[in-house]
Amino acid sequence: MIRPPLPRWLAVPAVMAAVFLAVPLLAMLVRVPWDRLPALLAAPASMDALWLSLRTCTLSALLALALGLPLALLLSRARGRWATVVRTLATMPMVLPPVVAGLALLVALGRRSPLGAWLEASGIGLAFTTAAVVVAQTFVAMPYLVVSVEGALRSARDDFEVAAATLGAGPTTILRRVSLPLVAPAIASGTALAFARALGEFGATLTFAGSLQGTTRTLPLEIYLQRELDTDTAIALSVVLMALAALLVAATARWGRGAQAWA
Amino acid sequence: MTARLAAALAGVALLAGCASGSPGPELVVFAAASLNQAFTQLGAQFEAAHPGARVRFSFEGSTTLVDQLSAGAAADVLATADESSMDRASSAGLVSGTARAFASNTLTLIVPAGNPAHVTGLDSSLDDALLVVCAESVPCGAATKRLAATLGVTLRPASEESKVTDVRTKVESGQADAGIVYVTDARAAQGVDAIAIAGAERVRNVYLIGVPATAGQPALGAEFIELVGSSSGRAVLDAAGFGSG
Amino acid sequence: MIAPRIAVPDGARTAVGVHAAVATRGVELAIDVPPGTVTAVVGPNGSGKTTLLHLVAGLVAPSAGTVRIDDATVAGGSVHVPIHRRRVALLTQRPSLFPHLDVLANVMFGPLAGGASRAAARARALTELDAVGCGAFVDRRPVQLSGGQAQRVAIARALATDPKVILLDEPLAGLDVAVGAEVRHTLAARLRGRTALLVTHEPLDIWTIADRVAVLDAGRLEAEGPAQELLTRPTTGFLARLSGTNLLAGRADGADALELAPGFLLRGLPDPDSPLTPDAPALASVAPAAISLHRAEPGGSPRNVLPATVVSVEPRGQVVRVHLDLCGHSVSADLTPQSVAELGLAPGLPVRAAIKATQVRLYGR
Repeated sequence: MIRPPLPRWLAVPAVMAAVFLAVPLLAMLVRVPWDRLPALLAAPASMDALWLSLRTCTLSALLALALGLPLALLLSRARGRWATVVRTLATMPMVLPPVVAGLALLVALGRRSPLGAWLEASGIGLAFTTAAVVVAQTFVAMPYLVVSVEGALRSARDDFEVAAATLGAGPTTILRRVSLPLVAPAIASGTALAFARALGEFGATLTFAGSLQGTTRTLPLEIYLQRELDTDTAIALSVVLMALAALLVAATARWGRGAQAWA
Repeated sequence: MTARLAAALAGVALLAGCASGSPGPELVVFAAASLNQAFTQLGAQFEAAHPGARVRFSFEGSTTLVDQLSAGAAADVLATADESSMDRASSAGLVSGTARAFASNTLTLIVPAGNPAHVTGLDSSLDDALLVVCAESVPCGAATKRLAATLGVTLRPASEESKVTDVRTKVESGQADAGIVYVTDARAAQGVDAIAIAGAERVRNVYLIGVPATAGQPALGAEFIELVGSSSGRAVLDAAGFGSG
Repeated sequence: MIAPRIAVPDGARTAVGVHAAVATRGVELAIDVPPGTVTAVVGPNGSGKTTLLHLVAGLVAPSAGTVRIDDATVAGGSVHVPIHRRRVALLTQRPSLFPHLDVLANVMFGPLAGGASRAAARARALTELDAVGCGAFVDRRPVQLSGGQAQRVAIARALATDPKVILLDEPLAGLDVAVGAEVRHTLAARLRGRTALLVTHEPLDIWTIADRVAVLDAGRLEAEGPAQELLTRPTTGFLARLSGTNLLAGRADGADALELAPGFLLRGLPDPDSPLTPDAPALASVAPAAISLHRAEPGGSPRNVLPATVVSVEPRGQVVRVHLDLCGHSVSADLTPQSVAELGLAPGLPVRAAIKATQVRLYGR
């Protein structure tokens, strides 16, 4: 079927938008010292930052999944005022400036806070640890997963679950064999999105966890430091981040489309 | 239709306001983060002495300021926290004329009020404490490194910040047990105790000030520098804890 | 299609009793379903048919009263047995086959959920699929099946769990005529002898599949009884309007006639999907407009000329509906007011009814 075409003048703002987004990224690619790239990336500080980022982001994504998925499931069925309150709270880290998120974490879990003091006394102090990085990343990344998965769950057909129940499947079986498999693409896409957000996390990490090579200086923090010291290294590391981001975005788009498969 | 027209007119007015600026001349000062309190006071003095003029500050790490200048930012005054940053700016042709020294700073140890970790100095009392310092790439951090080498101590910081003010806030909030900052930061900090470092005077950061090549108001910038070097400027700097230049 | 001998112990013995109300839906029912029978549930839209099924399945809780399956109260008071413990199968217009599993895995789902071993579940699934004629589709994904195939697989999937009660909510509504006929036959074969409730608007469903009929209106039970009787001697206006046509039941005589009474045959066209079995029960449907009345023996082509007596005359605007006793069967004929006047029709008057055989549809069971 042929659809009536879109007005032609739309091309103007659309191309402007594409150019606006593409030019800074392309400019980076042009500026990259490609011949020195391997050497720059092999520097101990660079490798430490990269490895730290990958480790913490993987942990954060998994943590976001382990905690965010049950929340998304419950929110998708909940109605009433409490549900709205919880959903607002769960979504807020998404719209907060990261440094505000870091400040909030500091106020809640800092060494002087009741919670933080208790943690420290119990021997699991978070100050300046890699664990703090994971906490900061999970805090800002989990909402992306929750929103993504809850959306898919809400728009999923409910007749499959009714059928499963009449066939004798209890709630856990229905979850395991019907509900979750049907939103698997959305779960994958949400996790990739959370990973991507954790990867780019800067403000909250800097404020809450600090910056130390190998412990808390993730890739974005290393880039921040290097941009004053050695711009070439900063750009080289930025390109690595951009490549990872591109991969994740592609994965998210592909799985996100699959999320509509059973609708 | 009327609402949209009103909104459009408001938008144009706003833009026009941005473009034309305030009535009098505006002085843009790029200064190292540690000069925050002192220069803000001097800025007020300057505005009082030059009615109609306004002073705008950008307090950042010295290396950041030099980077911004080399990227084309326009400033009328540049004040760095060490010589190497100013040297970098000069050799890149970013500063007109010669910069001159106007203050110096030494390092000290600060701890949260009450000294919860019972730190006594750059010694073994730091072994179990959470110490925060500046990163090497900023003048404060370079000085810290030099001091540690001069005194023959090995520091094991828990975090290396990009701005000395970040070190200060982490100690103020109690998140860190100790921090190495400038004496001036220790004075300006609230809720901290300062512990003098024996031998700290052996490493001094010299502060330099000059007029950038990109200055829009070079004459006004030079007047500000005059104020900094004057006796009232000296008084403000002394009160903040800066040594002589 | 031969119904296989699969043991259906519970399904043949389970009785259902719904004596409950659902205030929010305006429903208050008292209905008992005898074990091993298929009860068709009919009624206008909004009469509570789906609510009845939901009460039995556990998809809605009664605001008053109880729902009993055999001797156990599954709903009412403080009791509400959850859906997955009731062993009640539900089939709707949508087959709802799990899209991420193939046909075999779909049918195995129930037995596996009930704790059967993979081997046992697989064997059961294959048997059920063969019984509905879908044995060749085991590897296919639901998206690859046609509407009729999917619905049949859904039937197999439901029966694989040995449900005590089977509930069907207009299962043929989404299918076209030919496919619907196939699935109707599958249902008839597989439901025979089981306790089931079938919501439908289609008289053919009632005739082919159901043993009893329950008529609902405005959330209440209006009438209940054996299917054949309620179809041919409608006791409620709804039943009479259900098909909009005359339905006559009798025994098949040959392949193209229905014996209305000894010596009186109604000839017609047999429905290709429901062929007549000689001497077995059969149903004939004739539209009121297809019956013409005469005072004397008419000539001409009509194969069917039968004696009848006028019971009542009912003016209905542009037509007059004449209710007749035709060889012991109640039928209605539509005539113009002029014809009625010319014939001088009045209650008790004997007449001859002429019906073209081409306008009589015959259905075997």
